[in-house]
Amino acid sequence: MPRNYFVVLLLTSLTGLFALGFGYVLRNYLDPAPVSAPASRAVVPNIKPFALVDQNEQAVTEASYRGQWLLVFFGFTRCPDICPTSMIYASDLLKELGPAAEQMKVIFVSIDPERDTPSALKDYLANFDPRIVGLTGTPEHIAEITKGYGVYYTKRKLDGVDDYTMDHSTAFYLVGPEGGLRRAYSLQRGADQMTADIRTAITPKE
Amino acid sequence: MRNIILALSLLFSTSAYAGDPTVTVTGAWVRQSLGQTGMTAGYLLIENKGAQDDKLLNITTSINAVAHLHENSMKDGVMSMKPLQGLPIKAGQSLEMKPGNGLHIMIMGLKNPLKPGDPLTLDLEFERAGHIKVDAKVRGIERAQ
Repeated sequence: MPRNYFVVLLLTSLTGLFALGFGYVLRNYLDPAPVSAPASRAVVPNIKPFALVDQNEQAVTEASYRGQWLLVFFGFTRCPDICPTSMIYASDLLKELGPAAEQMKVIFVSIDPERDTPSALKDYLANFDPRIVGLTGTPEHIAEITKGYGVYYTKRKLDGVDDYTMDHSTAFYLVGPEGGLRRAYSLQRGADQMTADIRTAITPKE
Repeated sequence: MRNIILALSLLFSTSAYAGDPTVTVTGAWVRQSLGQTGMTAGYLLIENKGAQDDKLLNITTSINAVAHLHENSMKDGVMSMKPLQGLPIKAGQSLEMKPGNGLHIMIMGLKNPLKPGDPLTLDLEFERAGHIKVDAKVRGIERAQ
Protein backbone atom coordinates (compact mmCIF):
# COMPACT_ATOMS: atom_id res chain seq x y z
CA MET A 1 0.00 0.00 0.00
CA PRO A 2 2.69 2.57 0.91
CA ARG A 3 4.54 1.53 -2.26
CA ASN A 4 1.44 2.20 -4.38
CA TYR A 5 1.09 5.57 -2.75
CA PHE A 6 4.70 6.36 -3.51
CA VAL A 7 4.27 5.39 -7.17
CA VAL A 8 1.19 7.60 -7.51
CA LEU A 9 3.04 10.48 -5.88
CA LEU A 10 6.02 10.02 -8.17
CA LEU A 11 3.83 9.85 -11.30
CA THR A 12 1.89 12.94 -10.23
CA SER A 13 5.06 14.93 -9.65
CA LEU A 14 6.56 13.78 -12.95
CA THR A 15 3.39 14.74 -14.85
CA GLY A 16 3.39 18.10 -13.13
CA LEU A 17 7.04 18.69 -13.96
CA PHE A 18 6.47 17.70 -17.56
CA ALA A 19 3.48 20.02 -17.88
CA LEU A 20 5.49 22.87 -16.36
CA GLY A 21 8.38 22.23 -18.72
CA PHE A 22 6.09 22.04 -21.75
CA GLY A 23 4.35 25.26 -20.74
CA TYR A 24 7.72 26.94 -20.29
CA VAL A 25 8.93 25.89 -23.74
CA LEU A 26 5.64 26.93 -25.34
CA ARG A 27 5.60 30.30 -23.67
CA ASN A 28 9.16 31.11 -24.54
CA TYR A 29 8.65 30.06 -28.10
CA LEU A 30 5.29 31.68 -28.68
CA ASP A 31 5.79 34.81 -26.67
CA PRO A 32 7.96 36.64 -29.15
CA ALA A 33 10.37 39.43 -28.34
CA PRO A 34 8.90 42.95 -28.32
CA VAL A 35 7.64 43.96 -31.74
CA SER A 36 10.21 46.75 -31.90
CA ALA A 37 13.12 44.29 -32.17
CA PRO A 38 14.45 43.92 -35.72
CA ALA A 39 13.32 40.91 -37.73
CA SER A 40 16.66 40.82 -39.50
CA ARG A 41 17.98 37.44 -38.45
CA ALA A 42 16.65 33.92 -38.21
CA VAL A 43 15.76 32.88 -34.68
CA VAL A 44 15.35 29.18 -35.37
CA PRO A 45 16.87 26.84 -37.93
CA ASN A 46 15.40 26.72 -41.39
CA ILE A 47 11.90 25.50 -42.02
CA LYS A 48 11.87 21.75 -42.69
CA PRO A 49 10.88 20.37 -46.09
CA PHE A 50 7.15 19.92 -46.57
CA ALA A 51 4.78 18.54 -49.20
CA LEU A 52 1.30 20.07 -49.27
CA VAL A 53 -1.32 21.08 -51.78
CA ASP A 54 -2.75 24.56 -52.38
CA GLN A 55 -6.38 25.61 -52.87
CA ASN A 56 -6.02 25.01 -56.61
CA GLU A 57 -4.81 21.44 -55.98
CA GLN A 58 -1.26 22.29 -57.02
CA ALA A 59 1.53 20.50 -55.17
CA VAL A 60 3.60 22.85 -53.03
CA THR A 61 6.90 22.28 -51.22
CA GLU A 62 9.22 24.51 -49.21
CA ALA A 63 11.10 25.13 -52.48
CA SER A 64 8.02 26.68 -54.11
CA TYR A 65 8.47 29.92 -52.18
CA ARG A 66 12.25 30.03 -51.73
CA GLY A 67 13.49 33.56 -52.32
CA GLN A 68 10.25 35.11 -51.03
CA TRP A 69 9.25 36.31 -47.63
CA LEU A 70 6.42 34.26 -46.14
CA LEU A 71 3.84 35.25 -43.56
CA VAL A 72 2.35 31.98 -42.34
CA PHE A 73 -0.82 31.50 -40.30
CA PHE A 74 -2.15 28.15 -39.05
CA GLY A 75 -5.93 27.98 -38.82
CA PHE A 76 -9.04 26.22 -40.10
CA THR A 77 -12.05 27.28 -42.11
CA ARG A 78 -14.60 26.41 -39.37
CA CYS A 79 -12.89 28.80 -36.98
CA PRO A 80 -15.54 31.43 -36.22
CA ASP A 81 -13.58 34.30 -34.78
CA ILE A 82 -9.81 34.49 -34.76
CA CYS A 83 -9.15 33.05 -38.25
CA PRO A 84 -11.44 35.40 -40.22
CA THR A 85 -10.15 38.27 -38.08
CA SER A 86 -6.57 37.25 -38.91
CA MET A 87 -7.31 36.87 -42.64
CA ILE A 88 -9.01 40.30 -42.69
CA TYR A 89 -5.85 41.63 -41.09
CA ALA A 90 -3.65 39.85 -43.67
CA SER A 91 -5.77 41.24 -46.53
CA ASP A 92 -5.46 44.76 -45.13
CA LEU A 93 -1.73 44.24 -44.64
CA LEU A 94 -1.22 43.26 -48.30
CA LYS A 95 -3.09 46.38 -49.40
CA GLU A 96 -1.19 48.63 -47.02
CA LEU A 97 2.19 47.25 -48.12
CA GLY A 98 1.48 48.35 -51.69
CA PRO A 99 4.21 47.25 -54.16
CA ALA A 100 6.31 45.91 -51.24
CA ALA A 101 3.72 43.11 -50.93
CA GLU A 102 5.27 41.53 -54.04
CA GLN A 103 8.19 40.49 -51.84
CA MET A 104 5.92 38.38 -49.63
CA LYS A 105 3.40 35.54 -49.77
CA VAL A 106 0.73 35.16 -47.11
CA ILE A 107 -0.02 31.50 -46.44
CA PHE A 108 -2.96 30.00 -44.52
CA VAL A 109 -2.09 26.43 -43.50
CA SER A 110 -5.05 24.32 -42.36
CA ILE A 111 -4.63 22.46 -39.08
CA ASP A 112 -7.96 20.70 -39.77
CA PRO A 113 -6.98 18.77 -42.92
CA GLU A 114 -9.78 16.22 -42.45
CA ARG A 115 -12.38 18.86 -43.32
CA ASP A 116 -10.33 21.47 -45.13
CA THR A 117 -10.04 20.08 -48.63
CA PRO A 118 -8.48 22.29 -51.32
CA SER A 119 -11.99 23.19 -52.49
CA ALA A 120 -13.08 24.12 -48.94
CA LEU A 121 -10.00 26.34 -48.66
CA LYS A 122 -10.70 27.89 -52.06
CA ASP A 123 -14.29 28.82 -51.16
CA TYR A 124 -13.18 30.17 -47.79
CA LEU A 125 -10.25 32.23 -49.10
CA ALA A 126 -12.40 33.68 -51.91
CA ASN A 127 -13.63 36.11 -49.22
CA PHE A 128 -10.19 37.59 -48.64
CA ASP A 129 -7.30 39.07 -50.64
CA PRO A 130 -6.82 36.81 -53.68
CA ARG A 131 -3.06 36.73 -53.10
CA ILE A 132 -3.49 34.63 -49.93
CA VAL A 133 -2.47 31.01 -50.51
CA GLY A 134 -4.24 28.18 -48.67
CA LEU A 135 -2.39 24.93 -47.97
CA THR A 136 -3.68 21.58 -46.80
CA GLY A 137 -2.49 17.99 -46.97
CA THR A 138 -2.54 14.66 -45.19
CA PRO A 139 -2.81 14.83 -41.38
CA GLU A 140 0.78 13.49 -41.26
CA HIS A 141 2.12 16.20 -43.55
CA ILE A 142 0.28 18.88 -41.59
CA ALA A 143 1.75 17.49 -38.36
CA GLU A 144 5.20 17.72 -39.94
CA ILE A 145 4.95 21.33 -41.07
CA THR A 146 3.51 22.47 -37.72
CA LYS A 147 6.46 20.94 -35.88
CA GLY A 148 8.88 23.15 -37.78
CA TYR A 149 7.05 26.20 -36.42
CA GLY A 150 6.32 24.92 -32.91
CA VAL A 151 2.61 25.22 -33.65
CA TYR A 152 0.20 23.49 -31.27
CA TYR A 153 -3.24 22.23 -32.32
CA THR A 154 -5.74 19.70 -31.07
CA LYS A 155 -9.35 18.71 -31.68
CA ARG A 156 -11.98 19.71 -29.15
CA LYS A 157 -15.45 18.17 -29.15
CA LEU A 158 -18.32 20.68 -29.05
CA ASP A 159 -21.02 19.98 -26.45
CA GLY A 160 -24.54 19.27 -27.60
CA VAL A 161 -23.75 19.03 -31.31
CA ASP A 162 -22.03 16.42 -33.43
CA ASP A 163 -19.13 18.67 -34.24
CA TYR A 164 -15.66 19.64 -33.14
CA THR A 165 -13.51 22.69 -33.15
CA MET A 166 -9.76 23.14 -32.95
CA ASP A 167 -7.57 24.68 -30.29
CA HIS A 168 -4.59 26.15 -32.05
CA SER A 169 -1.67 28.57 -31.99
CA THR A 170 -2.78 31.85 -33.53
CA ALA A 171 0.50 33.61 -34.27
CA PHE A 172 1.63 34.86 -37.66
CA TYR A 173 5.10 33.55 -38.53
CA LEU A 174 7.45 35.60 -40.69
CA VAL A 175 9.86 33.45 -42.72
CA GLY A 176 12.84 34.96 -44.51
CA PRO A 177 13.66 34.43 -48.22
CA GLU A 178 16.25 31.79 -47.26
CA GLY A 179 13.62 29.77 -45.37
CA GLY A 180 14.51 30.74 -41.81
CA LEU A 181 11.81 31.58 -39.28
CA ARG A 182 12.39 35.20 -38.25
CA ARG A 183 9.61 36.02 -35.82
CA ALA A 184 6.19 35.20 -34.49
CA TYR A 185 3.57 37.95 -34.16
CA SER A 186 0.45 37.99 -32.06
CA LEU A 187 -2.39 40.04 -33.50
CA GLN A 188 -3.50 40.77 -29.94
CA ARG A 189 -0.37 42.85 -29.49
CA GLY A 190 -1.36 45.41 -32.05
CA ALA A 191 -1.87 45.18 -35.79
CA ASP A 192 -0.24 48.52 -36.65
CA GLN A 193 3.11 47.66 -35.11
CA MET A 194 3.06 44.29 -36.78
CA THR A 195 2.43 45.94 -40.15
CA ALA A 196 5.25 48.42 -39.58
CA ASP A 197 7.65 45.69 -38.49
CA ILE A 198 6.87 43.49 -41.50
CA ARG A 199 7.22 46.43 -43.89
CA THR A 200 10.67 47.21 -42.48
CA ALA A 201 11.71 43.57 -42.63
CA ILE A 202 10.69 42.87 -46.22
CA THR A 203 11.65 46.19 -47.82
CA PRO A 204 14.97 45.72 -49.65
CA LYS A 205 17.76 47.71 -48.03
CA GLU A 206 19.31 50.49 -50.13
CA MET B 1 -64.29 48.82 -6.09
CA ARG B 2 -62.39 52.00 -6.82
CA ASN B 3 -59.70 50.80 -4.43
CA ILE B 4 -59.46 47.52 -6.23
CA ILE B 5 -59.05 49.31 -9.57
CA LEU B 6 -56.45 51.55 -8.04
CA ALA B 7 -54.65 48.56 -6.57
CA LEU B 8 -54.84 46.74 -9.89
CA SER B 9 -53.61 49.70 -11.87
CA LEU B 10 -50.77 50.14 -9.40
CA LEU B 11 -49.93 46.49 -9.76
CA PHE B 12 -49.85 46.77 -13.54
CA SER B 13 -47.84 49.94 -13.52
CA THR B 14 -45.38 48.27 -11.18
CA SER B 15 -45.04 45.26 -13.42
CA ALA B 16 -44.64 47.56 -16.41
CA TYR B 17 -41.87 49.29 -14.52
CA ALA B 18 -40.20 45.98 -13.75
CA GLY B 19 -40.22 45.23 -17.47
CA ASP B 20 -38.36 48.42 -18.35
CA PRO B 21 -35.21 47.71 -20.27
CA THR B 22 -32.62 47.77 -17.53
CA VAL B 23 -30.72 45.31 -19.68
CA THR B 24 -30.16 46.46 -23.26
CA VAL B 25 -28.69 44.68 -26.24
CA THR B 26 -27.39 46.86 -29.08
CA GLY B 27 -25.06 46.83 -32.08
CA ALA B 28 -25.74 43.19 -32.94
CA TRP B 29 -24.04 41.94 -36.10
CA VAL B 30 -23.09 38.61 -37.56
CA ARG B 31 -20.32 37.96 -40.05
CA GLN B 32 -21.46 36.35 -43.28
CA SER B 33 -20.69 32.64 -43.43
CA LEU B 34 -17.56 31.85 -45.40
CA GLY B 35 -17.40 29.21 -48.11
CA GLN B 36 -18.64 25.74 -47.20
CA THR B 37 -18.26 26.17 -43.45
CA GLY B 38 -21.97 26.45 -42.51
CA MET B 39 -21.04 28.49 -39.47
CA THR B 40 -20.04 31.97 -38.40
CA ALA B 41 -19.81 34.30 -35.39
CA GLY B 42 -21.90 37.18 -34.06
CA TYR B 43 -21.11 40.09 -31.80
CA LEU B 44 -23.10 42.58 -29.73
CA LEU B 45 -23.10 44.86 -26.71
CA ILE B 46 -25.00 44.00 -23.52
CA GLU B 47 -25.48 46.68 -20.91
CA ASN B 48 -27.00 46.09 -17.51
CA LYS B 49 -28.20 49.54 -16.43
CA GLY B 50 -30.23 48.12 -13.58
CA ALA B 51 -29.41 47.68 -9.92
CA GLN B 52 -29.53 43.91 -10.00
CA ASP B 53 -27.20 41.32 -11.49
CA ASP B 54 -28.51 39.37 -14.44
CA LYS B 55 -27.38 36.42 -16.46
CA LEU B 56 -27.59 35.59 -20.16
CA LEU B 57 -28.87 32.03 -20.27
CA ASN B 58 -29.52 31.13 -23.87
CA ILE B 59 -29.50 32.44 -27.43
CA THR B 60 -31.69 31.32 -30.31
CA THR B 61 -31.88 32.59 -33.89
CA SER B 62 -34.69 33.22 -36.36
CA ILE B 63 -32.96 30.96 -38.88
CA ASN B 64 -32.33 27.25 -38.97
CA ALA B 65 -29.13 27.24 -36.94
CA VAL B 66 -27.74 26.59 -33.48
CA ALA B 67 -26.32 29.50 -31.49
CA HIS B 68 -23.87 28.99 -28.65
CA LEU B 69 -22.13 31.50 -26.48
CA HIS B 70 -18.42 30.84 -26.74
CA GLU B 71 -15.38 32.24 -25.11
CA ASN B 72 -11.94 32.07 -26.61
CA SER B 73 -9.10 32.11 -24.20
CA MET B 74 -5.51 32.65 -25.13
CA LYS B 75 -2.87 30.83 -23.16
CA ASP B 76 0.74 30.66 -24.26
CA GLY B 77 -0.28 31.73 -27.75
CA VAL B 78 -2.82 28.92 -28.09
CA MET B 79 -6.48 29.83 -28.62
CA SER B 80 -8.99 27.53 -26.96
CA MET B 81 -12.69 27.90 -27.45
CA LYS B 82 -15.19 26.73 -24.89
CA PRO B 83 -18.97 27.05 -24.63
CA LEU B 84 -20.24 29.12 -21.72
CA GLN B 85 -23.09 27.90 -19.56
CA GLY B 86 -24.63 31.27 -18.87
CA LEU B 87 -22.92 34.62 -18.85
CA PRO B 88 -23.32 36.75 -15.70
CA ILE B 89 -23.74 40.48 -16.28
CA LYS B 90 -23.45 42.38 -13.03
CA ALA B 91 -25.48 45.46 -12.21
CA GLY B 92 -23.91 48.44 -13.97
CA GLN B 93 -21.70 46.23 -16.10
CA SER B 94 -21.47 46.34 -19.87
CA LEU B 95 -20.08 43.60 -21.99
CA GLU B 96 -18.92 44.14 -25.53
CA MET B 97 -18.23 41.26 -27.88
CA LYS B 98 -15.69 42.15 -30.56
CA PRO B 99 -13.85 40.07 -33.18
CA GLY B 100 -10.68 38.47 -31.91
CA ASN B 101 -11.48 39.54 -28.39
CA GLY B 102 -12.62 36.28 -26.87
CA LEU B 103 -16.35 36.35 -26.37
CA HIS B 104 -18.60 35.68 -29.35
CA ILE B 105 -21.83 34.02 -30.39
CA MET B 106 -21.02 30.98 -32.47
CA ILE B 107 -23.70 30.20 -35.05
CA MET B 108 -23.48 26.66 -36.37
CA GLY B 109 -25.35 24.24 -38.56
CA LEU B 110 -26.45 26.81 -41.13
CA LYS B 111 -28.51 25.09 -43.80
CA ASN B 112 -27.83 27.89 -46.28
CA PRO B 113 -24.96 30.36 -46.51
CA LEU B 114 -25.62 33.53 -44.53
CA LYS B 115 -25.09 36.49 -46.85
CA PRO B 116 -24.72 40.21 -46.19
CA GLY B 117 -28.14 41.79 -45.76
CA ASP B 118 -29.93 38.54 -44.90
CA PRO B 119 -32.58 39.09 -42.21
CA LEU B 120 -31.61 37.63 -38.85
CA THR B 121 -33.08 38.06 -35.39
CA LEU B 122 -31.33 36.93 -32.23
CA ASP B 123 -33.40 36.08 -29.16
CA LEU B 124 -31.39 36.42 -25.96
CA GLU B 125 -32.87 34.93 -22.82
CA PHE B 126 -31.86 36.53 -19.55
CA GLU B 127 -32.52 35.21 -16.06
CA ARG B 128 -34.19 38.45 -14.89
CA ALA B 129 -34.82 40.54 -17.98
CA GLY B 130 -36.44 37.67 -19.85
CA HIS B 131 -36.28 37.51 -23.64
CA ILE B 132 -34.71 40.35 -25.58
CA LYS B 133 -34.97 40.16 -29.35
CA VAL B 134 -32.60 42.09 -31.57
CA ASP B 135 -32.15 42.32 -35.31
CA ALA B 136 -28.60 41.43 -36.22
CA LYS B 137 -27.02 42.94 -39.32
CA VAL B 138 -25.30 40.34 -41.46
CA ARG B 139 -22.05 41.95 -42.60
CA GLY B 140 -19.61 41.03 -45.31
CA ILE B 141 -15.89 40.80 -44.85
CA GLU B 142 -14.50 44.15 -43.93
CA ARG B 143 -11.94 45.53 -41.59
CA ALA B 144 -12.23 43.83 -38.22
CA GLN B 145 -13.59 46.80 -36.32
